[in-house]
Order: sequence, then C-alpha cells, then structure tokens
Amino acid sequence: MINKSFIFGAAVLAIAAFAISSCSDDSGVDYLSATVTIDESSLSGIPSPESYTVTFTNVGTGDVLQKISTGTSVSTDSLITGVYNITAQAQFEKGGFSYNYIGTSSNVEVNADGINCVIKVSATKSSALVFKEIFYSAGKTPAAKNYFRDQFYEIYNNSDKTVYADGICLGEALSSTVFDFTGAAGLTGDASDYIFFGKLVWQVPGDGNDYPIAPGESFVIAQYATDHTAADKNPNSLDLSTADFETYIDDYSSNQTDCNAINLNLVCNASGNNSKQYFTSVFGSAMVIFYPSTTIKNTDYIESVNQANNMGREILKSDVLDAVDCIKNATTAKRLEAQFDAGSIYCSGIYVNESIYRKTASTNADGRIVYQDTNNSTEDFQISTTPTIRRNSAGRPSWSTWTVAQ
Amino acid sequence: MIFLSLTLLPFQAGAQRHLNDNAALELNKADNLWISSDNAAGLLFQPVVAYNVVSFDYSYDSGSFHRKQSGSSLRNVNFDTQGALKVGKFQLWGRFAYNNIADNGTQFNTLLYDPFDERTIYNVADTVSSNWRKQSYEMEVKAAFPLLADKLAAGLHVIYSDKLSAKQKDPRSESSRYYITLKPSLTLKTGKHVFGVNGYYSNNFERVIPTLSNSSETQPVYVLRGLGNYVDETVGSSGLSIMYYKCNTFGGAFQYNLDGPVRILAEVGFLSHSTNVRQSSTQPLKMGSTSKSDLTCSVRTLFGNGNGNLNKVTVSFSDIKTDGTEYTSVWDKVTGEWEVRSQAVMSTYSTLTAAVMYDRYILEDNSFKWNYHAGLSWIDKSDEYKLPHSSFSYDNILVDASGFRRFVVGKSSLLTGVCASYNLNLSGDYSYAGSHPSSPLVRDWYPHDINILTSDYYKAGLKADYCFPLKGKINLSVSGDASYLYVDASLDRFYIRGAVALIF
Repeated sequence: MINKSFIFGAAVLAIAAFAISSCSDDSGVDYLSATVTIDESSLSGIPSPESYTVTFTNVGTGDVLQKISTGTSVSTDSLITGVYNITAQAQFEKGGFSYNYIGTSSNVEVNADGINCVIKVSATKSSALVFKEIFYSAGKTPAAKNYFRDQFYEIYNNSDKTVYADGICLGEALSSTVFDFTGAAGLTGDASDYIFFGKLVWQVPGDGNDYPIAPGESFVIAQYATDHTAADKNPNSLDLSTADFETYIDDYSSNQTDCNAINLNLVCNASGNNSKQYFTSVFGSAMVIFYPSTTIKNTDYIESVNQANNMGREILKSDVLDAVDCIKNATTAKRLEAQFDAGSIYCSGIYVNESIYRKTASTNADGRIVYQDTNNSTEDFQISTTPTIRRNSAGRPSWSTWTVAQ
Repeated sequence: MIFLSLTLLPFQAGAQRHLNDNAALELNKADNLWISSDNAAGLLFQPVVAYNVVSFDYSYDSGSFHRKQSGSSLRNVNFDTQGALKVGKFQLWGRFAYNNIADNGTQFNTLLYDPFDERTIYNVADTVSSNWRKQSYEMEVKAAFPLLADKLAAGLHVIYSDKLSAKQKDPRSESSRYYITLKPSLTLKTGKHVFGVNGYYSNNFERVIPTLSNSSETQPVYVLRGLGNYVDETVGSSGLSIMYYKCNTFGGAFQYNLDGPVRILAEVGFLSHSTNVRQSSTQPLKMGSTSKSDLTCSVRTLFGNGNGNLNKVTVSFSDIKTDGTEYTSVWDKVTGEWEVRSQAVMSTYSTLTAAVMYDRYILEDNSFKWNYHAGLSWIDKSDEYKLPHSSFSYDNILVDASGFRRFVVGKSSLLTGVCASYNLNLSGDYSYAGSHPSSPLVRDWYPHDINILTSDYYKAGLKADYCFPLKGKINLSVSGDASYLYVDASLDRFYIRGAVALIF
C-alpha cells in the first residue's frame, strides 16, 4: 500500500513535469541575408571602380564582416539580428589622379531575412596634405603619473607637388550624431554644407608662401615643442624640440614656455574655454585639418538647436583637407560623417603611450613614401606603442632649422 | 525585532514535547511535511513542535576546487535565530539570519553579489583577482490561521533580505541588493486529504556602482553577453555607469497531502522571473534582459513500521530555463535618449535536476538514536549562445550517504556522524565560435569552469555535536564538522565549521 501510493503519486508528477518541460518553445535565431546596392549616380565625370569593399559593422557588438562587391552589388547571408553601419568604399587610380569612393548607410536594422540597402557613394580626389601620425592618448611618467603635454599632430605632403602650410587650420569637430545645427539662428545656408568646430581652432600663420612643404616632407604641430624626456618632465616620452609649430597660449604656471617652434594662431574659441593650456581629449577627438575659404570669425558662434549652450564655428565641408575620427573603443559612436572618415580608430586605452600612424601604400623609386588614404581611418591607420615624429624618415621642411627647444 | 522576540519566547504550554538538542530539532522538521513547502497555511493542520534556537557559527573553506567567480577561500560568520510557536489560533514560525562573508581570490565578476544567479547573466567581468566583502540580512516569517474551523486555513510566508557587497580591488564596485517575497496560501482539509495552493510574488533589485580607488588609471572590463561573448568597456572617467538589475517574479504552487499511517505531500510549483538590466538613471541604456522559468515537483513520504522507526522518502524534479535577450540601442540626438532598434534572444540556459533521498530514523525519546541517509541526484546543464554558436554543458550524477549515532549521557547528548559522497561526470564540453577566441574569458575562465564542473570527485566528512542543559529548559550545543573534497593532487578543497547554539 505504501509503495503503491508513493509510486503512483511520483509517477503522475514526473509525467506532468516532463510533459510541461518538453513543451518549451525553442524560437531559434538564424543568420539573415542582406543585399547592398551601390548607387553611383553622383559620380558624374568620375570613373567607376571595378569593385567595392563593403563592411558591415554591428553597432551593438563591434563585430565586423567584409565582402567584396561584384560591380555595384554584394550579398551576404551571415548577419545576425542587430543594427549595422554599412560602408562601401573603393580606391581607383586613373590618369595620374587617385580617387576615393565612399558611402555609408548608418543604423540599418537587420531583423528579417532579405534586407535591401542602397548606399549612395561619392568620390573625392586624394588631398596632398594628410594626417600622418597623431599622438593623443598621452602616457605615464616612470612614477606612474599621467602625462599629456607631449601630444602632437604630424601632417604629411602625400603628393608629388610642393604645397604650403600657410593658413592651414587644425581643430576638433563636433559630433555629427550628437549636435544638430539645422535651421540654427545666424547660420547662412544649409547646415548640411558645413562641419562645426566647438573647441579651439589653430591656424598656421604666413602670407601664403612662408612655409612650403615639399613632397615627402611633413610638418609637426606639438602641444609643447620641448624635449619631454627631460628628468623634470617624462623620461618615457619623446623629444619634440624639433617640432615645427606649437599651440602655445600662455606661460601658465610655468607649465609651458614659448619654444623655438613657430606659434600657431588661435583663431577660434567657440567653447569660450579660458584655459591657459591646450590639449585634446586622451579618449580621442575628431581631428580635422582644413583650409578656410573665408576668414574665420571668433565671435557670433552658432548655437546647436538640440544641445542648448553648445556653440560651434561653421566651416564649409569642401574646405576640409583631411580628417581622422579618433574614438574611445569599438562600440563608441562615430563623430565624423563618412565622407570625411568612413571608419574610426582607437588606442587600447588612455595614458597608454600609443599613437596612430598611417599605413604605407607604396614607396617610389626615389624613396618617397606614399601613405594609404582611402578616407577610412579603420583601414588607413595602425597603432604604435612608440610615438615618433617624422617616422619612416619623413623630410623636415627647409625653413624648420632649430635643433633645441629654446 | 518582532521575529527576534518571537524566537526568544519561552516554551509555550500546550506543546507536546520539548526539543533539547539539534537531533531533536532535525527530527521535528523531518517529521513535518509542510515546513519545507511553499504553503504556510499547511502548518495549521500539521504544526511544528514549538522551539527556539539562537546560534552562532564560523565556517571556512579553502582549496583549488572552485569556479573562477567564487573564491579560493571563503569565510562566513553567521548569526541565526529561529523558532516556532502557537499564539492563540495562529501557528507561527520565524527566522532572522545575518552573514558576514569574506570571499577571497575571485575573478571575472566586477559587479554582482551573486554572479551565479542566472537572472543576472548580463554582468561585467574583469581579470583582476580580487576579494569581496559581503553582508546579508534575512528575515522570514510563516503564519497560519484558521478561516473555517478545522477545514480551511490561510497562511502567509514573507521573506525580506538585504545584501551588501564590495569588491576590494580596482575595478571595484559597491552593490546593494534587496528582495522581498510574499507567498499567500490556502489549505482545505477533507478527512485525510489536504489540498493547498499558494501564490508567489518577489521583487528583487540590485544597484551597483563601479568605482576606482586610483582614478588616474582606468580599468578595462568585459560587458558580458554569454558564454565568452562580450563588448569592451572601461571603469573610470566616462566609462561604465551605475548598473541596475530589476527582477519581478510571479508564480505559485499546488500541494496535496494525504494523512494516515503513510503521509504524503506532493507539490508542483512554477515561477516566472523577468529581469531587466539598465545602465545609468539619467540616460538609461538597456543592457539586456532575462526571462527565467522554474518548474519544480516533489513528493515527500513519511511512514513508520510501528517499531519506533520513521522513514522518509523524497523524490524531486526541477526544470529551469532562462532566455537572454540582447538589445542594440542608438543615441537619438533629437530626443536625447537611447533608442532600442533591435532585440533578440541570443542565449538560452537550461538546468534539469532530479533526486531521490531516503532517510531512516530509529527513534528514541523525543529524538533519534540512529539516522541513516542515502541519496542519488542528477543534474543536466545545457547552455547555448545562438549565433555564432557556442555551448557549455555538463551532466553529473551524485551519490551520497551518511550515518549518525546519538549517545545520551544523563541529560546530555552527543551526536556523531560520518558522510561520504561521490560525483560522477557523464559528459561535458565548452565550445566557442565567437569573435574573441583569444580573450581571457575563452582561454581561461570557461575552460577552467568546465573542468571543475565535469570533475569526478570524492567527498568525506565528520560531524560531532555535544548538547547539555545550561539552565532550566535552556540547552547549549557545541558542534563542529569538517569535510574534504578530492579530485586529484592538484584539485581539492576542505571545509570546517564550528558552532554554538542555545536551544530552548
């Protein structure tokens, strides 16, 4: 009796339990397919490349998938549900000109099979002046203290013609995904024609002929053009006493002295920053060099329509020479539009003494290096743990002759 | 304080026997089918003999046999007081417990008090070996009272818990966790049969603040997605913000009790847990959510052969399933908020268990002279990350046995016992196909844990408990136990515990 009651009760419950548990729903997640079509309708007068490299970047995870198109179309069946930034890019040389093709579709929701995405590409000719190396992550002293006074920006003449640095500007662009200036008060024309700068903008002085940069030469802009390996600074750092320009504001608490490097002009201060020292974020900024087609005003800034009290100086997009989107890590949102930089680059952390530098595309017979410039910093740049100015024996301009800081 | 005062009340007139040692307390609970069910109302028809216990114990275990998220050594100081009594028509049981825990040498858990809770799989991990300091306060009370003479009873079981924890090395965190559980219940008695039903609601909340003691050095961490998949993040500067884990649980259970020479209690219960994880309160960002379901069944049977023996057989089964949902959010600059654009169930976790336990008591006075125990349990774990497909699974059988002898010397008693168990692994594997095959999670954490969970091991232990009258009906118990787990020369763990208790 005992055994029968117990066994019966246990059996009924076990059967019920297994029945219920076996009815669980197993809704699977499958790979999804997508087709990308490249719209070349804006390439008037510009030849089409043979194929495009199409990159699918998962916004949530940072995972990347690359495919090569057949003509203007590419398909994949290897995407998982998510939101993607899809970029199509190509590089093509013809008639002595180098063309960069780029187009991006952002935040494409892939949540069903058979997604179709059209990407409109635009093309630009390669600029002569490009960022060659940027050191923004800063580093640490032997005593493990943060040291950021040795930030620098090296700009290289990637062409076969002499160009002039006179009037070239360096600045940090405001994020196009955060700040909206559409219909902003005081803005002339369409906000989509401009790129906006919210912090300090520096300009190389000169009347147009003072600072020639020959092919294969570069000029270095240092925050503080001194020898940072000195014992009272950071022996782990580098010597910037031969930098060509520096961003000197003031002898602020003896943090910085005015060195032999030529002082850039501070032409714009949209944020109203009263700091007497200049440095860019160690997490990375959207660094841009441009040649302004009009004189830059240092007043009457434009206020963002969606971020009150955030001011910017508008610069025509067509004035931009080169731009690099330096971000914090793989899942940080981009700041720059794809036409300036289709990708992004990041160091392994902050105060890690890492710089980003451009990859070599080719070396001419005379030894002059041509650096890779596809308008995509993800592809064009790599990380170095030894920040170096004039890497790969880049030439120093003839007018830059000093050998010590002062 | 109410619970403490209840537990310190002297023995109430009307109770049929006095429990004067831990063996008697154990028999008291073993003899009551309803005390360990979710239905408090059943206590009215089968009351627990009144008792009070105040205990203090210290335990320590250490060894290489541990999962990465648990420590190489664990120290726990515990204060516990509990008791049962009848007040008027109310049958009451209450407990208060305080634990102070030092968990040393843990890894891959940056945030959570309990990293093994499957409701909170969207944790954050780091590779730094760190210590944790934890405190928990738990109070619970069961009350049963008649609604209709000897036919219908109502009951309520309330549990409140507050837990604090702090990670001791960068990246650090401070966690505050609380939960409250309510189980209202009803039982209906018809002759020898009692039918019961209870509801279940629990609200669980954990708030974690990631911090650094050295703010000049940010720390890299991994925001977990499951089975080795993650997203990079940092703690410090503008990195990880405050994390919030919120869980609501609904459910209930049915019970059937048969009284007589053979007493049976069968119980089927179901719980549904829904947990949401969010980062930051000013710009909330969904980090993930889980949906967990627990199905549990048990049958407990008590019978004696009329010669002063009590036999107890317990058969139990559980099926626990968890789905992990990931979200992709995009910052909307117009609204200034994170907007969810995509979500999908990307991982599933399944745990099946079954167990059969047999206990035999040779009774003596209000306690037992001998206790024999044998048990057989099985666990099947199967976790999966959907795409790219990764899996983590194991299948084990555990056999355990123990024997206790109680010696009576005058008014004192000495309980001694031995126990042994053997765990046999049937299968187990971890495979990873994601985009971070060389990360520390995939190379170190998961392979280490699957090795622990698929180990065959032996475990043996001893226990001694000496109890003597202190004053009046108050008895003092001094006890200790130790056990040793062995896999091989490089993988083992020992455990020791000492306790002092007042029983009255």
